[in-house]
Amino acid sequence: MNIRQQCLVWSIAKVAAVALPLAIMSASAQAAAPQSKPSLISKPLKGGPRADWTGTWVLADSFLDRQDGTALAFRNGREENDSQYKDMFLAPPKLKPEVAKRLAAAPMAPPRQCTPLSMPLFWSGLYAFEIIQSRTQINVFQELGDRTRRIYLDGRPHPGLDDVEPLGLGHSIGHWEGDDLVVDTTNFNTNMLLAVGVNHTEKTRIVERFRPVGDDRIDVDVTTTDPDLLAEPWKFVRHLRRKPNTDIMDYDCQENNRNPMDAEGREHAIIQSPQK
Amino acid sequence: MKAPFFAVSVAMLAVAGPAAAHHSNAWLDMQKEVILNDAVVTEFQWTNPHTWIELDVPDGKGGVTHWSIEAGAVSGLARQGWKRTSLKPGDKIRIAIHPMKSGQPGGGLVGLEFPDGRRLGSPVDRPAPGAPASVKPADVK
Repeated sequence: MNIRQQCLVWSIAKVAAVALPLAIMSASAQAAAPQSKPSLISKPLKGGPRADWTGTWVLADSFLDRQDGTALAFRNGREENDSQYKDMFLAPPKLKPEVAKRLAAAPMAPPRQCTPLSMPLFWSGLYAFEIIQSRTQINVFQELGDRTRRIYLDGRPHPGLDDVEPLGLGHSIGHWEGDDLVVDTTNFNTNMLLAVGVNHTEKTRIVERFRPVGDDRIDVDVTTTDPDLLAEPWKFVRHLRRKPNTDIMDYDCQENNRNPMDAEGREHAIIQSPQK
Repeated sequence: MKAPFFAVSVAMLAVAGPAAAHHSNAWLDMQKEVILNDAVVTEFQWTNPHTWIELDVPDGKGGVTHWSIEAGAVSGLARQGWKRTSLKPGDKIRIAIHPMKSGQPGGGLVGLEFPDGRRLGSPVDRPAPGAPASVKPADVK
């Protein structure tokens, strides 16, 4: 090849070096559009409440919900105080007789103090709740033990028991029925409590309906079933009322825990009693 | 107030008792009330899971007996008008308690009263039927 031919070839090569990749890119862009990476952002389900539930909530009519601003000592045994607390404590579930008998014969060791709340005992938390709501997820937090539930609203199914580590709070997925949020929770950690003396099983299932009553109140119907443990579904309701202007506080259960438990699970008290 | 950390034994499961069984009050005589007069606060422990009021109470023989009284958690009391400074060392109060079953000088708070009449918690003396049971935080320093 003579010099002029070499220059021509070199020029064509230079142009091709630019043009060819562009042509390939544009061709592959056409071909790649259906194969582009899926978005990592969850898609919300249809529906949802008119109100945003984000905020601080307390158990309605409880000692944290004193509407008249009065101050009470908690559960001090006087009728006028206890009448406000009668619904605050959850009644226990009815165990199948053979289960109750087995447990009475070989009681479980009392759980260590400050055990994190599992479901449904999460709802036995008496202090402030906080709800953080997005279109694809709702978190429900309880101050007692700093516990946070995550309720997924993106249509995902429950995972296999070996695919995602089961939690004491279980795996919660929700969908909207009008203004109501219906939540299904399974996949429980079987090392954690269902109720006093009883751990979850792989069959434990909890269904909840969050029913808004206006903008400032939600009634939560909680139904727990377990065909191996419970004689009947364990049902209770929690009434939540919005409590604005209340910041979430710490709760460190061992900050000043003066109530040790004995081997039978009975609480005692550490008092300082030097007599002068 | 007590955290729900499972203080009820399994034997009580089938009978009654809250599901979370935290609030056993097993160490308190909830049917009895004792009033401590001329109690002097030595310390107010503003903590979770319970606040504690440490008191020196005259024993009637020229000395004092030291009492430890359990009250609600900060998480509760702070929202009922109590503050870290609601009780200070040196404060002299009348205080009603549920005593310890063991007879040791300890108990659970029912209510307390300052010399100027301000109150925290339930009235120290049982109110007459129909009278209001509690005070507003505005009444409390």
